[in-house]
Amino acid sequence: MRRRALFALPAGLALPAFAQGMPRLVVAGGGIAEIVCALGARDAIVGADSTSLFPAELRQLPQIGYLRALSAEGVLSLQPGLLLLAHEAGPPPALAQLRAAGVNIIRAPRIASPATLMQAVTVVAEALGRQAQGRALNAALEQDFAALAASLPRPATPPTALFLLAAGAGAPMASGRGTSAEAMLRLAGARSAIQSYEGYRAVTAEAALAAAPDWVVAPSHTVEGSGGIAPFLAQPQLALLPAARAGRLVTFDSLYMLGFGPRTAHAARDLAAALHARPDMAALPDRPWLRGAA
Amino acid sequence: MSEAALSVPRARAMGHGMALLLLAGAALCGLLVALGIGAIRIPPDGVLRELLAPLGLATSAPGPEGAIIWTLRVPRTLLAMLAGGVLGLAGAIMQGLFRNPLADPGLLGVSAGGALGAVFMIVVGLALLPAPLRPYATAGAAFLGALLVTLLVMRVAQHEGRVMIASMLLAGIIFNALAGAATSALIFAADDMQLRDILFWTMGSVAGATPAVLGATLLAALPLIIAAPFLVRGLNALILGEREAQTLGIPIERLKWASVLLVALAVGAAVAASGMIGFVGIVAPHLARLMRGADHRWVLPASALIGAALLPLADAAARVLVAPAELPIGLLTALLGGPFFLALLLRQRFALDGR
Repeated sequence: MRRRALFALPAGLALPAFAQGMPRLVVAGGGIAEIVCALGARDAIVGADSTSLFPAELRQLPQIGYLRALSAEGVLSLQPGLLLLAHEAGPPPALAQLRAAGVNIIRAPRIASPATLMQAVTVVAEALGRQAQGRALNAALEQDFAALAASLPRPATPPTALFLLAAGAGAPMASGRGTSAEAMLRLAGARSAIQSYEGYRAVTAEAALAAAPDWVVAPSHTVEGSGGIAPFLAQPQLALLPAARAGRLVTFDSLYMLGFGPRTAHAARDLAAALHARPDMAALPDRPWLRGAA
Repeated sequence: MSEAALSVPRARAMGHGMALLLLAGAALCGLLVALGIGAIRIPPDGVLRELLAPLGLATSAPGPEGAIIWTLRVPRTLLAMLAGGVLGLAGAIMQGLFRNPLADPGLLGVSAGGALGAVFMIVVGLALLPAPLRPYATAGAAFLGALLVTLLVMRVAQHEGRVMIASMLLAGIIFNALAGAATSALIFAADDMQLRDILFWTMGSVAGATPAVLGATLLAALPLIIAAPFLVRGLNALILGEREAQTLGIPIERLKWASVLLVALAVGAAVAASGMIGFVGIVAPHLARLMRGADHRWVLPASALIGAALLPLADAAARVLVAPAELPIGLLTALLGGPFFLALLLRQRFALDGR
């Protein structure tokens, strides 16, 4: 249906939303899409990948698929004036074909920390010709991260958390070192309970017990999918954990918590308030991009 | 011409050559359709003009249509055609060699070996290689994996200078399982990104086609294509049985080795270039046999042409069904091939029951 509507569009016709001299934007990468929207360029986006889910309006746009498996002709069919890519986007042959077809491609650096987030903002803002908005966004982000650091409780031993990514019928996948989940825990002044491996691994009941986390952290959709908090914590891999028996579970929206976009400082603050059991922890300034606005 | 001859259905009345010509026409139609459709709409006359432009028969339009057709659609459609042809032909040869309509190159461990090579490269190798080598590393590793596992299967199946078909089957099953286990171990160690890459690789795609990939695949497929006519007599004799074929003067051991090595070389390259594309190798020979019987003079070229006609169409569907995104081609061949195969099996069963 949507495709037919797209084809019905005469070639070369620009929609009214693309006034203000913005190129037709195609975005791949959820964090990058959030940055574009925070810079006030959401109306210029004409296509997005399957990881660009926030703000929700992006989901109404033509979908170019998963960011690691882009289709050259598919992207071309959207007649992009500018293709904005997260660092992970690919595959390289498709990108080479797009470059050869004359598409203007800008690739943001890998986002894994506040510093690289701000670099990505600068790159995206320059690509969009919105340097002033980019500087303003970075100033706000810097404030947010500074406020977070200032209000972060600093106990002698930081709380540890078993950060679960997905827990279906099989064993839950728990974050070790070097993941975006671990980066978020650090920002929140906490530690990953598992330090023995890199990436995410299926966790066994005994390994979880040995890690002895203070908290279990899990995406809310996974918890809901397993029937609620009680059945989630009762699954065999978790049931014996003191944290699970005490109901010390923190749930989060995975886009918000692991998206590594402009909302990162706020997500880290919320995580910190939960993990340090300090609901009174100072809130960060309200920002329009928390609601998907610019 | 007698009345009896006239009552024979036309398809039976004509020779294999005529029927092959028709199939070649079908493959050409598949090619044109696949070149003609895509996420970007180009009207048929525009497609034709761009295709004829390099020959000087038409003038190219000023827009980007020429580049879209020549750099995006032509390489991948040709690769789909080549891979489809190779898979169909290899499937027909394997079915003849094993005298089993369910055989395919996968039995030799070609696919499992290719998958092991590719997954090894994605999980372990890519990080160790210098950047300029990376674009072709996965395909290269898949190719080597396919050849290596096939050679192991043949080595194990060989006993006192003879390759036993039954041992080949068993060795194939064993090495398929071993390669599968090694692949699973690598997948277990893979991170999130690598998992997605592996997933897409195992579902197949011809999107990575470039003139270099196309050339390399053609080079590896050429020996099989050239040798296929010389395998026909042996495969036909093999229908009677191995010993009977031998008494007919067929150098049976040479036939086995030549078939297996050429198939591994060609299919290994096809798998390396386009990932795992299932069902073409089984469906194409079956279609060929349904049309005009099991004579390998017909089945081999017909299977190749049917594969070459089907895969570009499957790729075209993969490109437009969810545009501007793209489906993996292996998903489509399995989706179409599965029900087709089921219908075939049920029909055969009813035919047997009715007898």
